[in-house]
Amino acid sequence: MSEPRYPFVHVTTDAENADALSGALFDLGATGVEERDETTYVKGPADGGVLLVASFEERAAADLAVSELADVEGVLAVSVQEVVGDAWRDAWKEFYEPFALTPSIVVRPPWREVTGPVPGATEGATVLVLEPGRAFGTGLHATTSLVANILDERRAELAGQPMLDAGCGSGILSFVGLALGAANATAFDIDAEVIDTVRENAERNSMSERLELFAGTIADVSGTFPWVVANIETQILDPMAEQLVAHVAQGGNLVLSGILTAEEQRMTARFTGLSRKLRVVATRHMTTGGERAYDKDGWVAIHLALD
Amino acid sequence: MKKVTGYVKLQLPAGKANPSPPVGPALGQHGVNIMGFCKEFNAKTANQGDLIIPVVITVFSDRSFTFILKTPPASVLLKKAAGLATTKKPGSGSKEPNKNKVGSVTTAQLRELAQQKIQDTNAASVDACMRSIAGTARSMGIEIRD
Repeated sequence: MSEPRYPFVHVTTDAENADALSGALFDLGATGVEERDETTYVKGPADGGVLLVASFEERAAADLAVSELADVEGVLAVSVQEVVGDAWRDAWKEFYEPFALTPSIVVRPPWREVTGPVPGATEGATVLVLEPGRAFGTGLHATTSLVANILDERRAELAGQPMLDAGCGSGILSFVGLALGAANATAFDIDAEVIDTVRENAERNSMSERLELFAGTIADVSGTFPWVVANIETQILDPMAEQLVAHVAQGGNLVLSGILTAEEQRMTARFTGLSRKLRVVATRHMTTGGERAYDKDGWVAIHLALD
Repeated sequence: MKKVTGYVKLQLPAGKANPSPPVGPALGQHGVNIMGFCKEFNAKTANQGDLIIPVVITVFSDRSFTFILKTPPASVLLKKAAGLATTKKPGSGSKEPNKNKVGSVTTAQLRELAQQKIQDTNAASVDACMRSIAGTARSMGIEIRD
């Protein structure tokens, strides 16, 4: 069987013309453009140049783009390149090592054993086996880590209590809650495709009996919970605020995540201004730690309580 | 604090990232979970119509990532302002920008674009940013009216 081939058009240019040329590449049918310069992981040309790497669905369209761009102002070089094969699809798995999600929870993929101490984990930490499959939630994303660490800090209060995991993705936050001693978890996701992944992960961790799982929305949930977690995103959290809070038990907790720090004030105002009065217990932040302008915006998780 | 390993810059249609190229190869080779990125990018850009959205992805030493969305390229914003199609219409820019004008924008529109773009550029002022966008407009055959 022949390997699939993926055509790319490589355009060498400078910072001044990069913007207009990437626009031109989209006009010519590119499905996406990668920009390589002196700041990126794979470096661009020396002397402040920019390499635009545009993907095309068909080789013919890529060839046409090359001929169209050959004489355009600002183009220093243009050629068609191909990536052969699909090895890149699973390349990330090689790097997915066991890691400490919180001090007391280590996450490992099914294809890696924990062989020694894991940095950041305490001795005797619980090991969760997680295959993210196509679902969001390897545990490596800041938004997941923030909620997991809030739950770990409050494990004494969480112990023995039921929890609700709204928008569960791979199910990682339910597994964290159960590992920390929650009595049971109810998890749902609007994406029916991820449900099998969650079910398999529950089996891997012998947590199936304590997990109620379904594909659906907050409208399908009944009852209230002492702990509700929702790692979704502002655009979805905002309109579902009233419905979500309706499922928080009196004296219960709501942990929201997927919120950029730029949206922290607005979301805090939104969730403390509802008919059921919530107060902020704590917030937890994570920034990317770099020095450039785009590093300054980070993520925040907001822990609220209903008194 | 986690160590930053590098940055990946992509431009993708809003709400339409998928694991095929360029996203897959660009991120997969650095160990980033491709699906995790696509899902998050699409969720955050779903309301931006058919615009092209530049995104800067920060990859950490443990292969976790975060990303920041930027304003669409000036060329895309200009086409939108001039009422031209913004995706997949070969030839919607001018082949001979000096002779054939494909559309026009007003100085007021240009200022609006500059105010939108300035956060992502090195331009020292809105005026400087306007001059740079005006240059892009001229090279695309978009005229500037008062």
